[in-house]
Amino acid sequence: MASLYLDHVYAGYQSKIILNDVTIEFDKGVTVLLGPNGSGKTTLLRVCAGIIRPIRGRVLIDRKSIFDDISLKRYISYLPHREGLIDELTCLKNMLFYMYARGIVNRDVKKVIHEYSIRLGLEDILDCNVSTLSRGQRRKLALLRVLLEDSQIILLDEPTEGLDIISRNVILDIVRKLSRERTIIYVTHDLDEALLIGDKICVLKNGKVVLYDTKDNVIARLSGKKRKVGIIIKGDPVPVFEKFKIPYTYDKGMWIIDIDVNIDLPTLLTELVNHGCKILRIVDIYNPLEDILKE
Amino acid sequence: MSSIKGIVKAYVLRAEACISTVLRLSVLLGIVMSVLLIITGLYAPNLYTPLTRHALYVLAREFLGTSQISPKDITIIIATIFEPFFAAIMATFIASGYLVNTIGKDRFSGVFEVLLSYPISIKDLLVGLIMFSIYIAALSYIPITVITTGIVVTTLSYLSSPQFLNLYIDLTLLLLPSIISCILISILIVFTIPKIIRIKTGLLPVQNLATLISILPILVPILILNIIPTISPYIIALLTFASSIALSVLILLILPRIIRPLELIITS
Repeated sequence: MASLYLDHVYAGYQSKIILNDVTIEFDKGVTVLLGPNGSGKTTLLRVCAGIIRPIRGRVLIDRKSIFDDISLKRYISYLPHREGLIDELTCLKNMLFYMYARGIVNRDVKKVIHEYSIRLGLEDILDCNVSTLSRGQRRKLALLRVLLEDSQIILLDEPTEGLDIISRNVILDIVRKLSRERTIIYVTHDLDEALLIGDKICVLKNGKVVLYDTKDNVIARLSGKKRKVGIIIKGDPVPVFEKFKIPYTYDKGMWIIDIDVNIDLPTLLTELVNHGCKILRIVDIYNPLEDILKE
Repeated sequence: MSSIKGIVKAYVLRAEACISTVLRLSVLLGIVMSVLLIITGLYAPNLYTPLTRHALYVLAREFLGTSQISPKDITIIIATIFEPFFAAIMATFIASGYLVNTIGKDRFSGVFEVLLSYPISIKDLLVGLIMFSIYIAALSYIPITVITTGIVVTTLSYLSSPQFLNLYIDLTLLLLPSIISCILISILIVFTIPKIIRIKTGLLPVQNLATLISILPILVPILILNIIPTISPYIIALLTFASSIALSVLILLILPRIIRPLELIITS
């Protein structure tokens, strides 16, 4: 199992320093990177991926610097925010392009791509041009590449951004399965997702790590604090609220609920929809996790 | 499999996706360019600019040894001396245009970002891009040359001057390396002054200033031929051959040293 360690890393673009003395070791499981825009999350991933060389400090895989020995990059798979798909090629050729570029060339490569595509429900679109795919299909295809690379360290930059709840759950499910044997660094802005998927939470602010702890410890910090959400719903949500033991009030057409921070809001919303409710609007009135980001 | 072989195989796969478009474009451009040059020479030589007309007259006098220059003589010079230059320019237009577009798209869509996270060096990536361009250049140059040669052979036979075919073939072969140097200039521009790509010239299929600058190794010799027609076209082609090889080697040496990964991933 390859370990990833950042040792007093300073990094940035041109003269601008983005990461400011970051020292962190990433272990097996999912570490969620949280932080406001411009806090350095993507830069941290790029440094981990060996794309941006730190101005100072070291990025070590198994105690060896990734910038001294680029063969160490074989342990890494990186899914950037822009998926890196080539629009004029078919999905299959996109995968072949990356497999060849990574040096994975054997007679079975097409067979393996086909097998993995079934897991993601992409087998029917392998011969379609990428330009014809929806946003969700593109994200899944990009994740297919990561699966095919079968690396021990996986870096994911907002893999579920802009996806519907079904596609999001498919991707989260895959990430969860992968995390049993791998180190995954997962960037997201979604606090629900962070608590749902993360084993550890890392909060970056102005290029510095301001919090790095297990999910349980983070939740413990927030003990007693409830998240307050307002939802405008067509239909009767009460049975679902009672099933989840959620305290609720009804005020001027809006249901106001107080939920524990570790309850996944999208799962609750799915339950409401399955119950026959139509969700018209959701407002996050108070989220205690935001306090951590603001601290 | 070594990283360089893998990346080359990947970019060849990428180039194969363009085969039909490049072939169609090359065949169309080859026919239009060759036929237009010949027909203009035969029926409307006055349409050429005064500078080109003067050059054609001087070259015709030099090569045909006659003082009375007819449209037929102008056409022989056009077919023999100018067609090889224009064929090379057309092929470079297409290859360089595709390359600049591809690099721009790859930078924007995050392809380079993914590739740079792989165990491959910048040098490997450059080799992949160069192979991609050579593949596209060959795809466009071969049909353009076949069409141009067919039209030139027909024209020279029609004008009873097949002896000039040798000069045409020599010039065509001597200009071949200049296509490689043009491609390398495109890569150099795209990675060092990427802002140039956004300057549109309105010339299809060139579209942008980077492609226009990259054809200078062929454009400059033909301009010299226009301005100083007393210099032998053979000498000019020979100098183009030598300078293209020197330029290509120079660019190949400096490119890996000046390209930084950040330039491949930042789009703004």
